Amino acid sequence: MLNRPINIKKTLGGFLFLILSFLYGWQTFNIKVFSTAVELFSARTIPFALSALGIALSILLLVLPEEEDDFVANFKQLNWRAAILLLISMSIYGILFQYVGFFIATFLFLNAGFWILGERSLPKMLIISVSLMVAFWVMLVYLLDIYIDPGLLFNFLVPATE
Amino acid sequence: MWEGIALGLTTALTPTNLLMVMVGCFVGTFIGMLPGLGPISAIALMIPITYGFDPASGMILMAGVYYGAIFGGSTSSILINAPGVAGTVATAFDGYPLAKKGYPGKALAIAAYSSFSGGTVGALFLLFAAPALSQVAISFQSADYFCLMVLGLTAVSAFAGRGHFIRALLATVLGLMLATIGTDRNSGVQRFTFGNINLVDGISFLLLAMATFALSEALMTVLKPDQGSQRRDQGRLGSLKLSTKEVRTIAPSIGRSSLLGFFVGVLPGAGATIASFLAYGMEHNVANKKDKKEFGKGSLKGLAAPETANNAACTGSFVPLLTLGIPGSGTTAIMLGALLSFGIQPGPSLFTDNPAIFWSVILSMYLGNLILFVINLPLIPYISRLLYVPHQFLMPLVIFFSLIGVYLVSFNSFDMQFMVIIAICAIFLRLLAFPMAPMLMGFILGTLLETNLRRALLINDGSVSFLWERPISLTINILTLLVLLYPLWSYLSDRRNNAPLSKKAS
Repeated sequence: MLNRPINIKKTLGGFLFLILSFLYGWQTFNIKVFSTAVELFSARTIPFALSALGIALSILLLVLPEEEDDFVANFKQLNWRAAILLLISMSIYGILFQYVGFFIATFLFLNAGFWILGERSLPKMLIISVSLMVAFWVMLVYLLDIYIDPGLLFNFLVPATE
Repeated sequence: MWEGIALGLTTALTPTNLLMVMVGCFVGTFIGMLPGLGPISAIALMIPITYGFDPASGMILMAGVYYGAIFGGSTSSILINAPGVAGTVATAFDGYPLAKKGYPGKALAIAAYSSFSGGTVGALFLLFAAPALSQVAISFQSADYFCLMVLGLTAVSAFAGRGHFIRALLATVLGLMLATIGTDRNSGVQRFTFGNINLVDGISFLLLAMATFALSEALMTVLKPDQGSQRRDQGRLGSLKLSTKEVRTIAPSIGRSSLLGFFVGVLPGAGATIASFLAYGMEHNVANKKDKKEFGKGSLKGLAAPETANNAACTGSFVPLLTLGIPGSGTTAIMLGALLSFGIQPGPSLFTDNPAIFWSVILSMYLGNLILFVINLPLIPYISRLLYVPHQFLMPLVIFFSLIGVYLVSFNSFDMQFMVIIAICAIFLRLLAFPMAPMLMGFILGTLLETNLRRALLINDGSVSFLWERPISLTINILTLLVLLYPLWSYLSDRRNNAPLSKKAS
C-alpha cells in the first residue's frame, strides 16, 4: 500500500479543491443574512451546500485509486517560457490599452506575440499586424458601429475635425 | 405549427439572416479547423459581435458558427489528423487514412455529404420534436426544473471521460461556486465580492467562456507545440466526386447514424463526441467481415458514420435548450448564456413568447447545412489553406480576438486582467485533467438552479418532499441516480474483469 506511487494529478487536484472548498465555506460566513426573519432559504444556503459538496468530492478524489501518471515528465516538457511570456504580454496589453489606446497597444501585443512564438521576419510581422488591426478597427467602427478609442497617438496624428 | 414554420422561414430568409448563416458557417469552418479550438471557443468569439444584433440574427449566426466549427473540425481531422473539435476525433480514424491513400478530396466530400444528411435528418426531427416537447414542458414546475438541471449537470460530468467523473463533478461544483459571486438576485446581498466593485455584478459568462476555452485552448497549443503544429505537405485534394457504388455503400450508414446521432444529441450531457464514437462503434459492429477489416484503414463507412452522427447530434442538442431552457452540452450552454444576455429566457415559453426566434433558429440550422454543403464544399481547397498558416501568427491572433472580444462588451480593462488570471487557473486545471465544459455548464445553470430550488422549497413549505412526490421529478431523479451509479458500475465491472488477469500474472 505504502509503495504505491503517488498520482500527482489526482493528489494535487484533490488538495487544491479541498482547500478551495474550505476557503469558500469559510467565506460563506461573511455573507449577510437577515436575522430579523427566519429565512427558509438564505443567500448562504447554496454556498454552504456547495462547500460541503466540494469537500466531499475532493476527499473522494483523494481516496479513490487511480493509475500512476506521468505528470512531472509531461510538465517539464511543456513550453512554459512562451506561455508565460504570452500571459505577461496579455496583462501588459490590458494596462496599455487604457492609456495608449487600441492601435499602439494592439500593435505592440501582436508583434510581441509573433516574436515570442518564434517569428523573426520583421516585414511579415509588421504587414500582418498593421493590416489586421486596421481592418478590425474599420470593421468595428464603420460596419458594426462599435466605437473603440484608437488611442493617444492616433488622436495626435489625426486630430478631430470638430 | 405550420404558422410557426412560415414565421420562422420569413425571419430566417431575410437577407440579413441569410448573410448571418453564411458568415457563421464560414467563420465557424475557419475556427473549427484550427487544432485546439472547438465550437465553444468559436461561439464565444462571436458573442461580442452579436450583441449589436437582434436576438434572432444573433442566434442564427451562432448556430451557423456551431455547424461550421464541426465541419471545419472534420477538415483538419481528415487532412492533417488533428481534430479541431472533440466531436470529429472519430472522423480522423478513417478520414486521415483515406486521405493518406491519396483521396483527400473524396474523404472531404464524404464528410460533407454525411454532415449534410445528418444535419437534415436532425433538423427534420427537431422541427417536430421541439414543439411537442415544449407542450409537455409547460407542465414542468420549479421542482422539476431543479431536478432536470441536476440531471443535466450530472450527465455532463458522467460523460466527461472514463476515470474523470469525480473531476468533472468537481469542475461542475467550481462552476456553481463561481456563479454565486456577485449580488444575490433574491436577497440583494453581496456574496464573495471582497469589496471589489468589478465583482458586484458577478463574473461575466463571456469572460469566463473566453478565458477557459478560447484563451486557455490557444495557450495550451503554445504549451504543447506538437498539438498544433502537425502539418502535412500542401498537396492537391484530388476529385471531390463520389461514384454510385460509393454512395450506395455509405447510404445505410448515414441513415442509421442520423437517427442514433439525433437521439444521443437530445440526451443531456452526451453531445456530438459521444454520438460520433457510438456511431463508429455501431457501424463497426454491423459491418461484415470484409468491411470490418477496412475500419481504421480508410473505410468509407467508418468515415461517414461519425460525421453523420456528430452533425445530427448538434441539432439534437438544441431540443433541450429550446424547449426546456436547459443545455445538454458545453456548446449549447454558451448559447443559453448568449440568449440570456439578449434578455430571452429559453424554455417552453420561448415557443409562444418568441416564436420568431424559436422557429428561425430551427430553420436556420437546415439553411446552415445547405450552405455548408453548397458553398463550403467547393471552397474547401481554398479554406483548407488556413491549416498551413504558421502557428506563430495564428495563436497571437486568437488571443487578441479573445481579449478584445471581452473588452468590447464591458469596455473595462479590468476584465482583461481578470481573463489572464482565469486563463492561468484554467490551464492548471486542464493539466490536472479537469474538464472545462462541466464548469461552464455549472456556471451558466448556477443562478437558475438556485432560483428554482428556492421557489420549489417555498412552495413546499421548506420540505424537500418535492424530490419524490411529483412524478416528473421522481423520474428525473431516478435517471440522475442511474447516471451517478453508472461510473461506479463501470469501475466495479472493470475491476472484476481485471482481477483474473492480475491473478494469472502473479
